[in-house]
Amino acid sequence: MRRRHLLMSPHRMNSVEEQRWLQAARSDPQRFAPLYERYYGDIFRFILRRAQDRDLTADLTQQTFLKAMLALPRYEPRGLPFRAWLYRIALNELRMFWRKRREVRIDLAHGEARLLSDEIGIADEDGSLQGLALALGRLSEERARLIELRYMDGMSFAELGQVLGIAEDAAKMRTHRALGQLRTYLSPGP
Amino acid sequence: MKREYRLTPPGQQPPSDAELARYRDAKRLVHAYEKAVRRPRRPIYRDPKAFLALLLIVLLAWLLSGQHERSERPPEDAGEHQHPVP
Repeated sequence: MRRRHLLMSPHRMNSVEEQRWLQAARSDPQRFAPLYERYYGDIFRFILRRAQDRDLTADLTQQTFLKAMLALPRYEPRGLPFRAWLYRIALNELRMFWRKRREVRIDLAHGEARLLSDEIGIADEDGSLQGLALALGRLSEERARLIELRYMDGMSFAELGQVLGIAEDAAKMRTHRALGQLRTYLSPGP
Repeated sequence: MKREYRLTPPGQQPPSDAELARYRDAKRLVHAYEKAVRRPRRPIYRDPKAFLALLLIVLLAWLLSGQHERSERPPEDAGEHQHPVP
């Protein structure tokens, strides 16, 4: 039940309504507000776990929406929902931020760590959750990103593929490989 | 780049709706957008640096076109063998 709750995206928006809002925002940027209001919380939380500081997160979130507004005339909704497109922009903003900071630090909530430990099949104790956090840091950036988006941000495989620009099946397969690698890191040695 | 995952301390709360509402500011966003798309106040020909760059580009284009014209023109002695125009 917990897993189901965490893996469901919080907002499943009526795509017809979203299309209407997008068209309105294209013709008049003042009408971008409904989209901004709708997705602000999602993007803020997404950035916060990766930037930690709330004021800084507010700046990066604002920058993400500004870039989205500026690029809106070039946005093609075919195959890429607006929400996934926003996450892509947010991820690019974060990459620039990490490059400046020269380190990537990501917060992992206990609930998410437990969900991940259930998936891998390791004991649900604090010590093993710490071990899990360390093991995540050993994964390649690409594999760690898949795990983050799936188990921390609660994206479906389809959304995950849209954000990373890969097919849904590829996202599923690569996530399973990443989980396998985590399992190897966490299994006791011979 | 070093990548580190940290378990959040149990007391740390996710941002509340009230806090999100405090940070969310659609007017500021629209203002930033308008500032970004607004044309620069000073026209390019009045900005000394931009003017020099523009001048350099025009000069280079003129020199290159002159060079191209000279290379396309037939050599002068070739003209002597041509039939004179009546």
